[in-house]
Amino acid sequence: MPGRVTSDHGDEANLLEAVAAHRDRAAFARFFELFAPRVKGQLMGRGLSAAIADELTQEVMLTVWRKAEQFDRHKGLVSTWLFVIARNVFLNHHRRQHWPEPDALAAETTPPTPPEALFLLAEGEHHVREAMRELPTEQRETLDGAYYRGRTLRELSEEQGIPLGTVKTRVRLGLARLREALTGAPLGASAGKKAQS
Amino acid sequence: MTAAATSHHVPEEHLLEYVAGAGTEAAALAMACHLSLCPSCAALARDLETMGGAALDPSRAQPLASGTLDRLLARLDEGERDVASPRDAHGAALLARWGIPSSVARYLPSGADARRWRRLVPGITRIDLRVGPASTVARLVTLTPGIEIPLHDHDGTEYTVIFAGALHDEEGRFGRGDISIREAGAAHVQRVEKSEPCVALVINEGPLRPLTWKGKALSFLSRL
Repeated sequence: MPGRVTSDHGDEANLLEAVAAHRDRAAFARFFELFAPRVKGQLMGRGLSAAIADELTQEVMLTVWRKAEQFDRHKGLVSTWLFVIARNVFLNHHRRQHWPEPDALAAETTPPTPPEALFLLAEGEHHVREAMRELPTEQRETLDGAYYRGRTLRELSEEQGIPLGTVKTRVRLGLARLREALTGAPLGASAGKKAQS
Repeated sequence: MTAAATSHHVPEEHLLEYVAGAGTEAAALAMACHLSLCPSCAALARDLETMGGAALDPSRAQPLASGTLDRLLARLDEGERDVASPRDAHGAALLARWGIPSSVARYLPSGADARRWRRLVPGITRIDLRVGPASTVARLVTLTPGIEIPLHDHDGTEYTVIFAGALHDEEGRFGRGDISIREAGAAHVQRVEKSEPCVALVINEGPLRPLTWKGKALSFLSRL
């Protein structure tokens, strides 16, 4: 199973690299088949109609075509990269918002992720998906509200008629589970985690 | 100056909102500035993005309308005109001089004149940023060492990210990279550390409500 997960990630990364290096349309078409339906599913989760989600999915995939050379398999997963692009396209086109991104931290503070960590990250993503399904319903629905529907915690508390503090607790408990699934593997995928003050 | 020294971080739920694209652009700007200077929160945000990638779940995929891929392939060549925003050397230099992350650049007002530090009240200069909606006030400020910002409250959330110098309030010392998030109803007094001027991003998502006569004077003057 782990082998399958990582070779999947390797294949996905190969497709993006083929697009970046040779403007490979066949690789792009394959990438589209793999990911466009997932992007559309998430856009519809954010409340868009199927027709508008189709349009925005095309914008997301055009961005993939244009920015493929910015993907770096040594820095993270294909799905993570795509998630950020899809989020930004949604906010840009649908809410007319730019979404500011942090400056890359100075090289000495962000060591490149070692290959074995990426291996574990790809596995971790798989575990996160499983863990997400196994969360208690109220935690799953709350995290879903943020990740899938793009709601703030305040909006979720109003929607569900529960106190903001309860929503925060559910988020923290749920994220702790997911983080465990993501980094529960022997080598933590992210360095320098710290308790929040 | 090292980023690792940050001691006031973003609560995880705010990071989640930022990563998920929820909330306001102004709040996102404050997050981006903190993440630019805080390796530990940046690592947390990357984890949250990885979890977001996992939420692109094949089991919830929706098929695209037939012919979408063909239409898209036909558009690929048209698409190479990625409109790069013109490089703003003046803005970049301004931000670099004060150690301010470049995420702020697109919100700077245009024109050299609007980018001068202007006096807000004695001891405070500011450059107003353009971040919607209209009820949001977003500013870069410089604060004279040793001054006190009188007791005030907000009708919306207040975000402060420090780029130089330090501020103190009852939650402690806020230095470079630190972020303070105050919900409406959390009145506070802030004091600028004596050693050097403080440079910060301050975002108020609702009008300021001064609670003392000194604060009222400040609020009156700040509207001029």
